[in-house]
Formats: sequence, structure tokens, C-alpha cells
Amino acid sequence: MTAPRLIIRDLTISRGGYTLITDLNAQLEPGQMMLLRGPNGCGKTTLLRGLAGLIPLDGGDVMINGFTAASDHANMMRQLILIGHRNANAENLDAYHALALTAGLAGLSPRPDDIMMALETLGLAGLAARQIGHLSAGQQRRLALARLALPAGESHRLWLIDEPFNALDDDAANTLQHLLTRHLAAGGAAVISGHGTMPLHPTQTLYLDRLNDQNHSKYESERGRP
Amino acid sequence: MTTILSLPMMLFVHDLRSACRYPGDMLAPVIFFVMITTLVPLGLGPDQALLAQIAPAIIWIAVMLACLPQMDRLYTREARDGVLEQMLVSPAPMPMLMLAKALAAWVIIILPLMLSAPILALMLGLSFNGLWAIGAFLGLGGLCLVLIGSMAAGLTLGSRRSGIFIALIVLPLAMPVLIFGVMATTAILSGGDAMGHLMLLTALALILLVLAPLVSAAAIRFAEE
Repeated sequence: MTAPRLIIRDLTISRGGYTLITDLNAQLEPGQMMLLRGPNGCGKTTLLRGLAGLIPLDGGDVMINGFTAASDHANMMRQLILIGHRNANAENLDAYHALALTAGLAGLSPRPDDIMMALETLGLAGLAARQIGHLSAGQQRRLALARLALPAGESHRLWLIDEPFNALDDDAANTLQHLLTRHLAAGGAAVISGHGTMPLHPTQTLYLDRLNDQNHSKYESERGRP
Repeated sequence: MTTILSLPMMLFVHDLRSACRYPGDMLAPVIFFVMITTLVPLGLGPDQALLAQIAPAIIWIAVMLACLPQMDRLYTREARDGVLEQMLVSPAPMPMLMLAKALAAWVIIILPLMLSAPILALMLGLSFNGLWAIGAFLGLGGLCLVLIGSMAAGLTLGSRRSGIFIALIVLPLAMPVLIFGVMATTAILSGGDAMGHLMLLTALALILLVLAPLVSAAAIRFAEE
């Protein structure tokens, strides 16, 4: 339980010719939460997707519970839950089956009553049979977050959540906060991106624009050295 | 081990469930298929002998054209709603998930065409004797078509005019399928030996079963970067 959940070593990621993340080093212990902040386009989503192994890294590595995507893809994926800015609710299915699909793909294999319980936690119990297209934006976001309410025993997983509070009402925001607290208390860890005021108490906050500025000045000072 | 088989199985079931919610989408290729096969006799005139002679070719070409528009939609919805992204962060190997989707597409797109083909063959003046073969060979050829289509859909994912690109990729690659399929069908109908053609068609299907999931998985990983 003492091994760090996430180790980021000298991470460099570039997109479309721009280097967004340069030589990033960070570490998350069990029970810790990292908040990614910064203006639009600073690379919050890119960093999250990079941590999940969706984007090729230009340098450095990402280790989640001791696994890297390059050495053991399947096991690394068992160590994380990614909730991207797209909700991944299958449009053609109803809420119940859409959650069953995303949970199943994540390798969670929940039982039917686990799924109903998760829907209930997010206030979607009455909407289990409702088609995804007939849910509001907030309800769809709730449904995506319902993956986090599936039974514990998965607390070793690193939660990677992209702007979780988008489209959420106060009620759902409270629920999410509660889920996060429970996850961290159980020894889990989370990386969350967002801007504006968020009702969270992160262990670390990463300001991506400042980070890049720091790196630039670091490079300059290095170059300045004889 | 369990995730390698159970997750693709689950995805397969979900794809079928999702298709059953919109039976109209499953019916559209069949109607298209019926339309094309009806147009040919209308254009050719009522020459029974000629129709029966070219019937296998008409049916195979019509099947190819009827499934083309479906290939365009193989992954677009999943790309839009983010399910593809979740497939990429799944512990199951991506090629296995792609294989599951291709097999589901076979059930959704090809199976209805396969079942309606013998009826249309009767309409084109073919005898009862070889009807089972028309359906069975179409099933095998259709598997090749769906697998080729899955590669094309992956490769064109995210491009603006994917429909025309998919046709440009699928049709040339599907030529051997058409040739061996029509030859096998004609051979059976004329009481000859279809074994050789059928073995080549099966070989094609087996190669594609291995190759296509790998290609589409790599293509989608690249498109989702």
C-alpha cells in the first residue's frame, strides 16, 4: 500500500508541433489527488490522455501502480479509470446498458444490482431504461461519472477525470465530491482537470501554463550558464 | 485470459442489442439489395435464360453495393460519443475488440442479406437446386466484405469525405471476393465443382480474420490520438 499510485518521470508531450508538456515530474501516493489547472488549450486534456496511454509520449514515462503502457498495456489499463470530456455513453443504448458497456470495457465486470446501485447514487435510478439521446447534458455527465460509483475493491485504480464538474448541478457535484473522498480514503488516487472554482481539496495542484513558463526560464538559465 | 475473450464477447452482445433497437437500420441494406436486383431485369427485359445466367453476378454485386453505405457508419458513432476511447483504455486487446465489432457487423449487415438472397435468386429465374449455396457463399463472402470494410472504416475515420474513400478502398480489395464468390455460385448452379473457388474464398476470409482487426485497431489508435 505504500507504493506510489502514479509516477511521472521527465514527461514530454507535443501535439501538432507544439510542445505542451515539457520534462514534467510528479508523483501521487495512495490517498492523494492532483488537480490540473490552466487556461484553455494549455494541455490539461492532453496530459490526462497521455497518462492513460492514449497519446504517444515524446519523452519520459508514466507508471501507474508500477505498470507502464509500453511494457504491460493490459495490466496498466486495469490500474486506471478514464472519464474523458466525451462521456462514452453509447448513443443507441439505454442508460443501464450504456453504463454496463463502459464498466465492462474498463474490466470492472459489475453485477446488475451494482449497476442499479451506481445509477441510484448519481440520481439516475428512474432513468435506467431511458435512451441516452433523451437524457440532458447533465444527466449524461452523471451517467459517465456513475462508473466511479461502482463497487469498491477497485480502489487501487487511478481515476483520470477530465473536467468532471462540467454540466453538473450542485447535487451531482456533491455526490462526486463524496465519491472522490471515499476513493481517496480507501487508498485510491485521482488526477482531475478543470478550471474555475471547484469544490475539491487537492493534495497537489499543477498549473500547466506556469509550468511551461518555468520550463522556458529553466532552459534560458541553463543556456546562460557557461 | 478471461478479459481477452469475455470483453470482446460483451462488446459483441452490446452491438447486437444496440442494432436491435433500430431495426430500420438493419432493414435498409436489404431494401437497397432488393431494389438493385429488381432494377436489372427491368433494364434487361424479360429474357429468362439471360437473367438466370447473370443472376449470381447481379446478386453478388448488389450485396457489395448494399453493404458499402453501412461500412461508413461502422465506427463513426463510437468515435463521436467516446466509446472508441474507452475501448483503447480497456484491458482487452484492441484487435480482439475490433474482431468482435466486425463479427457483430456481419450479423447485423450480412445475415439479413444472406437470408433474402435466395428469394431474390428465385425471382431472377434460378432453380431451387442451388439456392442454399447462394446464401451460404454470400455468408462467407460477406465476412470478407465486412472485414475489408472494417479496415477501410478505421483508415478513413475522421476524414471528412469518408464515404467515398471507403468505397475506393473496399471495392478494389473486394474484387477477389466477387470473382471467387460468383464462380463458386455459378459452378454449383450448373452442377459443377465449386470446391476450388470455395477454398480460395475461405483462405481469403481466414487471412482477413487475422489481418483486418490488427489494421483497424492500429488505424483507430492513430485516429484517436
